[in-house]
Amino acid sequence: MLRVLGAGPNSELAKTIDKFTDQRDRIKTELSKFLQWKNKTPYNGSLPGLPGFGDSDRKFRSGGNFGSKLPGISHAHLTHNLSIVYFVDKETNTIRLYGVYSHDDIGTGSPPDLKRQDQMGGRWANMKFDASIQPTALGPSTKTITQKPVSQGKPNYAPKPKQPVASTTVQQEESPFVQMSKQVDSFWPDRNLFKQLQNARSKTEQLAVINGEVNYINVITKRHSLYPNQMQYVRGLQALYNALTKK
Amino acid sequence: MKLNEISKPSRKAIFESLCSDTEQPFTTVTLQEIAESISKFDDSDPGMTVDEALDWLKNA
Repeated sequence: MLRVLGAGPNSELAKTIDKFTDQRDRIKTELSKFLQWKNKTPYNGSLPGLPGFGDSDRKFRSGGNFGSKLPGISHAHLTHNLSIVYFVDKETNTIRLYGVYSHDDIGTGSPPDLKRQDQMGGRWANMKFDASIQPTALGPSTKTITQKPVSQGKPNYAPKPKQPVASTTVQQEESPFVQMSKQVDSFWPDRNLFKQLQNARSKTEQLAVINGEVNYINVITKRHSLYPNQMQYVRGLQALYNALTKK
Repeated sequence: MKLNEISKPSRKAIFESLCSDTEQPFTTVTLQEIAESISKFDDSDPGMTVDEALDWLKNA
């Protein structure tokens, strides 16, 4: 039978469980199942023919001196967003419980690639915007207003000579934000950014559209580097974001 | 790396090692917490049996 190290009051495990008060009972239940499972199959992660605790039970893949000294430190899901970090030491027949920790808060369900995140963060941080797309305050969008002739007094039904309809078209100048949106949209028309922003009913929804586009770009950068037009698109997104959040 | 880090890696060494796994699900901040927990782990802990641990969990 395994001996359990790192459990008990005042342990790191207890402290980390206390952080998640809303899931406390669930954690305790799942942790009990986990201990019973590991007691029967005392291995780090999962091995061929020896399944781990759930599908996600696996070792950290680490290299270097640390990896060679403690190669088995593992993590297994207890809930959809929490994992136990542990190490089964077969020599001493013990299991070390390091704590319960949450996953990526973004909730994408995909494991983060730290290097790529850093690259992306660096790109955002180093962005310089085109002088032609200066962020400015929001203004009214383009509208074509047709003014109908206003009749006064009683209607006159007498036939009148045919006259061209008097109409006045007032062309208001597009707001800088609209101009900028169109320009960013032109960098990558398939994304329909301008249409999405038009459909947004508030500034919050516009920000959500921009965030959605940034998240999409984060996903595709995991597959390949961005093309020049896509990089322009990203710069444009940040310019739009700055314009919307400018006080 | 210092000699004593081979037998007992520092928090930084553990953190860097955890970060080298690009398929784990944790954020950088969480990896720092995990590294700290691993580095501070009390080797002298006598531990408890699984049944005792289950009792503790039940009553915690």
